[in-house]
Amino acid sequence: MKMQEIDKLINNNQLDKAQLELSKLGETFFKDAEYLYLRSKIFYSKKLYYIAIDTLLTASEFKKEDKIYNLIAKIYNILGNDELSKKISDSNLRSQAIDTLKGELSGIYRNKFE
Amino acid sequence: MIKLLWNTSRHQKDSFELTWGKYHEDNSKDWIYFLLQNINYKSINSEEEIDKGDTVIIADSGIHFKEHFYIKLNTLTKRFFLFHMGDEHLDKRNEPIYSYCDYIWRTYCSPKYFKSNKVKCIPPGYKSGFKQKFDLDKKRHYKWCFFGTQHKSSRHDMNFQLEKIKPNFVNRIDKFADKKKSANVEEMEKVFFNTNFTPCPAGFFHPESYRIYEALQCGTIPIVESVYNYFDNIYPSNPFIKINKWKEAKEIIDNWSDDQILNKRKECVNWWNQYLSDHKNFIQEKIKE
Repeated sequence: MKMQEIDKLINNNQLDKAQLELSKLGETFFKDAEYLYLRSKIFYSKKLYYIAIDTLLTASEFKKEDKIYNLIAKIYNILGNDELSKKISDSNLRSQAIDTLKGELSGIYRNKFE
Repeated sequence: MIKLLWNTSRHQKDSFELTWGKYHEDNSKDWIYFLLQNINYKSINSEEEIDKGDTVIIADSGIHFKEHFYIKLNTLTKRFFLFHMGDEHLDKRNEPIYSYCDYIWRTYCSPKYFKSNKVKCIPPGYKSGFKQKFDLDKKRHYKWCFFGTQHKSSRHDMNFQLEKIKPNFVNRIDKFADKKKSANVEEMEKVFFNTNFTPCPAGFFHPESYRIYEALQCGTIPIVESVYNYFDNIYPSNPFIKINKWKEAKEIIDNWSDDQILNKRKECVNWWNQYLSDHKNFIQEKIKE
């Protein structure tokens, strides 16, 4: 199944089906930003906020996309960290904010070839 | 005769698993020996000391690299039981090894083991040295404490939400079991014995952590992340405080009365002691069968 179709499943709240389809894609997608983003959307929908952020931070190592940052900002707003949420929402501040955040976390994958 | 072989740093060629094997050798013996207190066994140092017809208990980690050892054990013994430590990743390569064993106790559970009649999950336990030596009724100084790394976003948010709640004690290190910066068990106990709440964010891959059981062992209240309701599935009726966001813990740590805290601490200690007693008996019965 294509990523767009899996995204539709998530948007229609068919989370288990979407998860199953993603798991069929296998290890070759573990460094694919879209795959990681969709995984994060499922975690977010299941209120697994921290796993969602960790996965989005990894996704941002492979692609700098607004939708990735916007979802991180949205989650930090839910968690109650308004300052960080605002910084990540701001396209002028987000890059530094995300970099600082990753620098404070020893367990997030960093793409050395970036 | 029942014999116990501690095998975590033996027969291991993989360097990652050998490091963990040595960690368990140094830190997990008190926990496993405690669980085996009701068993009359003899400790042995190698499989050469196993006689045909013996019942053997193996304490091990990194088992998927030791298949030859387990095949040999299977032919040598009457029955053998495995205490499988580590395996936070839930490695699929362990399954064939499990097929050689009569019964397995393992840390880091997975839903597939919830109803297994061959595998029973146990907590990863506390580091060797932690003793239950405290006065439960004594008022404690620190509201919360944390020892460990800040590897992912949960721990970062925990710190953000809780850092202003004082007095607290935080010993943050850059890597797990950092020999230079980590507090030793004595230092940790001193703080835990004087603390009310222990926030226990999930481990690197799994909701479990040693911290939860060190907290229980020292009479503090564990606050755990409720990831996939893991703790309610593995320990139904546990008294842990479960949260989805660390903001929820902030309200509890900040607002609970002394009486509420003391009652919860007592509830946790009682539950933990009952769990330990029940599980020791379960192990005794299983090995006797």
